[in-house]
Amino acid sequence: MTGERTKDCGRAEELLADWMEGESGPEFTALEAHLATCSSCSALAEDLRRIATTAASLPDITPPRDLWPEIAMRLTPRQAGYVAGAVLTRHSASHPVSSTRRFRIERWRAPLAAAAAVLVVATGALLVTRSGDNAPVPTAAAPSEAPAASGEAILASSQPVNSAQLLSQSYAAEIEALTTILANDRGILDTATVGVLRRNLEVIDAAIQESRQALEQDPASELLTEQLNVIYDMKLEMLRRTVILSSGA
Amino acid sequence: MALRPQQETSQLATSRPDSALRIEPDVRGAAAGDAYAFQRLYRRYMPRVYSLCVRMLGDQAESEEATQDVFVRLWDKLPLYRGDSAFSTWLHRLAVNVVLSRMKVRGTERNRFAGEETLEQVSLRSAPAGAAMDLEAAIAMLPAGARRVFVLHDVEGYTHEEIGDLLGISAGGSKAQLHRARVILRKTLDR
Repeated sequence: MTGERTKDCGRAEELLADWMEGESGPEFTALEAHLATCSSCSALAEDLRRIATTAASLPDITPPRDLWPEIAMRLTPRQAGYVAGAVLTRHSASHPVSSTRRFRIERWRAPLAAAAAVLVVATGALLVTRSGDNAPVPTAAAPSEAPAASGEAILASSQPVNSAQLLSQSYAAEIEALTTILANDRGILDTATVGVLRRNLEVIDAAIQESRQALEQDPASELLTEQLNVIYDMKLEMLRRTVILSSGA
Repeated sequence: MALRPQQETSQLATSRPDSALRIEPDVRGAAAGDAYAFQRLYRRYMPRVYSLCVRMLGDQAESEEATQDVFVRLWDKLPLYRGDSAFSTWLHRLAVNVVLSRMKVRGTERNRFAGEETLEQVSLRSAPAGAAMDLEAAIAMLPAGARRVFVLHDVEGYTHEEIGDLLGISAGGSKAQLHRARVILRKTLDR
């Protein structure tokens, strides 16, 4: 077997693609004969085959963050009528939905929408305030004011809801872990950032409280249960982003 | 999770009128508006969808957005699903369409991974000399045209005819792009 390129090598490369697709015929028989004697072309064929084989068995990739909260946000505000409507429409054929239930569903959207808006606005605000001197945010000019209170303020406003029958252990554990990180990072975030965080966590916590109350009135509602989870997800997402942003501040 | 179209060809071919009866409960539930069931579908299928997006688009942030687009679109389209093909196949095709639309609308081809880039141009933005590059990183560096075909064919299992339909090119063109992609990958991985 030779490793030097010959005039047949160019033709062999042209035929390789079809040969790998399983094509057959006299010219491919000639190609196989060439591969048996040319180490350069046989190595090329082997490498290309290995690439294809490896590609077919690549493992799935997971995103670095949970995408569900933002998906849920996009479903609810823009398609809330559809979400509720789908439930109501499908059920209405065989299980008419009472006006009371419809009212609960409608009423429940408000806290979710508020929490969703907070998550979007808060992230933007964090990015702006993180930019420091260049940020056109007046309150960002006082980074030295009470930095030690930053973590405490965050902790004070984001304590896990203690009576959460519907709060899974994972939520509580992760919220606690994130708030602990933020508490340890006290002083890194400036006052303006902490203020944004505190206000928005208050809104999210209020949304959680309101949704929990709605769920207490309708404890069998999967929709309300799910949406309470969505709001908890939003809270977690905001805390996660804060931790990431503070680590790069 | 079986999403590769080629693996499900037989199931598609043997689709029966009663196929809707085989629709999994969460798909039925989500189609009926059950957000809880929909979230379970998301958890189950998201990694596969995200993998497709990130390999096709080559950008993490855009892939996250595309994945979200896929599931928002899925929520819209689910009531139309009749079970004539495997749900995973149906979702996969939806995801591919979302990605391709996104690439077209945003002019991804005009970015630094432009489809008409030469291999020499590709080499200019290669990883540091001597650095080992895995296949994922090498795929991300492919020119857009070659990357799309390579991902659809070698990773996702589409046939050249299916790729031709999706991309509006001939099956022969798909074969040529695939070979080009593999050769570029080999050179990139050999560095």
